Amino acid sequence: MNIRCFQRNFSAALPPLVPLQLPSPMETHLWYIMPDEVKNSALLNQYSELLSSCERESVSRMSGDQLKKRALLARALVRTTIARYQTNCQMNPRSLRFRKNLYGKPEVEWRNEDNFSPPPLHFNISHTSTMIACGVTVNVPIGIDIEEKQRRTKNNIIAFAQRYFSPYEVKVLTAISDPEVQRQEFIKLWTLKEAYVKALGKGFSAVPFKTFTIRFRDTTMRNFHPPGSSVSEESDIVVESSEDPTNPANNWQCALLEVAGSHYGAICMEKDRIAGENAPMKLTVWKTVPFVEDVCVSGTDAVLVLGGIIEQ
Amino acid sequence: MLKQKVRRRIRHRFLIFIRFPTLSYQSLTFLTAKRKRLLQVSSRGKRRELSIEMAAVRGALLKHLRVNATPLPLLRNPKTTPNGIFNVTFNAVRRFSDEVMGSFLDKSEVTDRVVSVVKNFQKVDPSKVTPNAHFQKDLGLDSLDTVEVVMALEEEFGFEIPDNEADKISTINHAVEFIASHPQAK
Repeated sequence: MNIRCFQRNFSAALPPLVPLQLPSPMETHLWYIMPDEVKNSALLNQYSELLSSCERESVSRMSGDQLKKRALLARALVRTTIARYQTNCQMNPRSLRFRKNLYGKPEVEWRNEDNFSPPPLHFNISHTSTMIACGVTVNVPIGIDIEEKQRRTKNNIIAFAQRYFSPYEVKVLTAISDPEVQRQEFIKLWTLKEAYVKALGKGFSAVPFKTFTIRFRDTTMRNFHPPGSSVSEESDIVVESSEDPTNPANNWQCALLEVAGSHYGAICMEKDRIAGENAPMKLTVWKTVPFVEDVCVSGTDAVLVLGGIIEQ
Repeated sequence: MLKQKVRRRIRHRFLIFIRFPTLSYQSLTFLTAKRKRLLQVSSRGKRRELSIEMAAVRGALLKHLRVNATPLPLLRNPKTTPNGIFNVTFNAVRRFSDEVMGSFLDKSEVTDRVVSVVKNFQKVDPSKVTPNAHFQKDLGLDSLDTVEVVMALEEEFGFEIPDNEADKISTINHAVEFIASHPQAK
């Protein structure tokens, strides 16, 4: 019998983690935490216990309490979330190991042991100063990015876009006359592009922002959906690669959300070939504080779909 | 035999003139002597040393000369100026050679300028900006901020930083190293 199965109570003070069901194919689970709402220092200390000594060291090396807390919560969120998806038995979040792929994208390092088949989980995290988010999928890679809605850029938006975005995107942004709307569209575009690059997992230099275009396409062919299902069909989001025609980017599905009224979030995941070309992306969103509470916010005002074909 | 040597020397000086039209004769001979030595040196390491030295000397000379130089108008006394008829080509070629040859900036000057660019960011706490500061871990900048920093550095130093290089710039020191070793930085 696997010894790990017996390690249920890793700390007398912490309750056991509530197990979770794996996402289905074409489904994304999005977990987010608001650092400002986590103030209990005892809880933060317990999170610190979950980290590996390497992680704890890198957290302590960050300068400033806010940065330390953010880094700590990000690691704790990832560890507890992944640990909850174990199908066989409860896994101790402390015993999870992580590594970076060749290009620096973090992934779980599953240990090869008997009677333990690791779930094909993929995850990606993103954080701002007021929110930390973690997206989880099975079988397919995922990339997410969140940005504060009110975020200002130092540079002029069009100058920035001309330097980093593709010509089509610059055209779209320049056509917007209202500077506030332009700024918002810029942030949305940035999150989408970043999510795509993170999903690809090859680093920014492999896929410079200028080499692909993200465009919103009105869905003319509306698929029939059974009544009662909550499928949002805003315009579809399409990724076009201008440089690599051999690798068509239409096997990536993107979604754009407004989360908690304060952030734009973008999710990009590879399409599952079995599920079909036009299958909507299934999405479930939780607001969480590890060990304390999960609140499912899908279908509420906390999650507004701004782009992509999403089923919540 | 003599004629060939003289011809070569003249052609050499002429080529230097094209690159540095406002050089005085003394500075010109100094540079050509160094260059001659450079061409004679066989070892790659020594040649590199010399060429860096030469670049530094050239840079210092140019900095001094640039202050005084004015672009020569096309028809100003073509008889009195020795290279009068080549004025237009000089200016055009000079610009080209500036881009190609350029000069390396002094590291401490680069550090000061990079630090002041980063301190200018509203999001950044100026007291945390040290030469060793890491953009993410010390200054709390995210990817969009880092891209904005790179853009601001491009503006400050007047050259474009390619994406694959920008990817590696995660600390102030990285930025300084990259810029100080780039001849196109101004």
